[in-house]
Amino acid sequence: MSIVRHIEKQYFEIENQYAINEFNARVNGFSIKEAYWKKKRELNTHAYFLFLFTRLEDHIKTQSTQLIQKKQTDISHWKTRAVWDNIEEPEKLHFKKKLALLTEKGNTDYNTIADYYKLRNTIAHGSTITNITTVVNMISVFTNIKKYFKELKGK
Amino acid sequence: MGAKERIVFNSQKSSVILDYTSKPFFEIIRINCSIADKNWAPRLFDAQLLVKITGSNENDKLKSSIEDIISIGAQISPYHKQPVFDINRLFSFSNKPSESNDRSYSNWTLELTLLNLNFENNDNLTIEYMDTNYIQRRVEDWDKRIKDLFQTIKSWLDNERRFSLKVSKEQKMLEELMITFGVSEKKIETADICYDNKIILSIKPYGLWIIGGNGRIDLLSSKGNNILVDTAEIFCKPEWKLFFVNQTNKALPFNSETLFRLINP
Repeated sequence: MSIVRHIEKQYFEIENQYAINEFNARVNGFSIKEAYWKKKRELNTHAYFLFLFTRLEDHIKTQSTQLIQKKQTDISHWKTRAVWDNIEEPEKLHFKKKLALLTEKGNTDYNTIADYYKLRNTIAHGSTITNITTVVNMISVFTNIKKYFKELKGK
Repeated sequence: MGAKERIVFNSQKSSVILDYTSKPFFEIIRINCSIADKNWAPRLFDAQLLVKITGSNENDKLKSSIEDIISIGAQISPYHKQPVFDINRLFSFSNKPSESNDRSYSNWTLELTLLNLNFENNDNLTIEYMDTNYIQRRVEDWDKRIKDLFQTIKSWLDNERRFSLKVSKEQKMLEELMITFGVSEKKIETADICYDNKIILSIKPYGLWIIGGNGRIDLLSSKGNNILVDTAEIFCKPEWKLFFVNQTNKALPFNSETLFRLINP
């Protein structure tokens, strides 16, 4: 099983259990507990989103580095190769530049990943994760990230 | 992250005025330029977009404006017919420093004027934007779709004596875009489906702005959570799809049959 599927399985197991707890609190009229479990679900979603996105970041870093090294090796004409040779430390390129090597800048995939990246930064650099109001629909996120693992290739 | 509003400027129109009844926030996301030259001689495209926001009170005695200009330019050629400018700038009205707050204002207008650009007949320039009015409309639309959905579910349960739908506690809705565009929080209804007066399924709106849909509602039960997503285009008739959390690849249309699959004891 791939790492994404592992994370997906684990996320939904926890999400489902928290959802049951939220439902039970509602049935019993415990509104504070109901809000507590709702908040736990949100925190869990943000934590898993961050975890999942780091896997994608790593994939993009690996694939873009491979692409750059391949171009530096395979292109024989110096003039065509020069632009690739100028990238001395591929792993230090900005994330969006690495991404733009694997998918066209401005297309749907690029924009979606850029949106995820923005959200990842909000979560990663936020001093108080509880204040994050962004809604993350993990069903779409898992579907998209599985697709990106398949399609974003450097070779 | 959601569709946007559009304004098209062309040879007949180079200015537009938008009215607001609450303090406006206006974000220009992108400007797309479409040039239809016949002879395709390369030429320089150079223009400015003036954004002017004016606040006033009811009898127009109090009036204040702010202005800002965006410069856009590109070289037009047969290989670069449609320049696209990513702007991503948020404009808002700010009261004069001498005024302690902006409550004295009750009406606002936002004027967009395109300067220094002469269009040929088929040329146009499209401005993609989001503003306070648009976000407000999206929130109202979400509220309406939820109420309509509850009505629909109620009608499905009408013939089943032991089932009932109870619209229950409202919950607070305040999403990120609402905060950015100064739209105040909204109370959104939730509902419970009961069997012999015992709650068996809670229907709780989760969020409007989601990736891959036009709103999500959680269906919580003692078995866990399943999800309803509206997959229709924005401001179109809703198309609710039911996602089972343990089978994320499958979505079923949400109808009385799929509902009863969830709630039948």
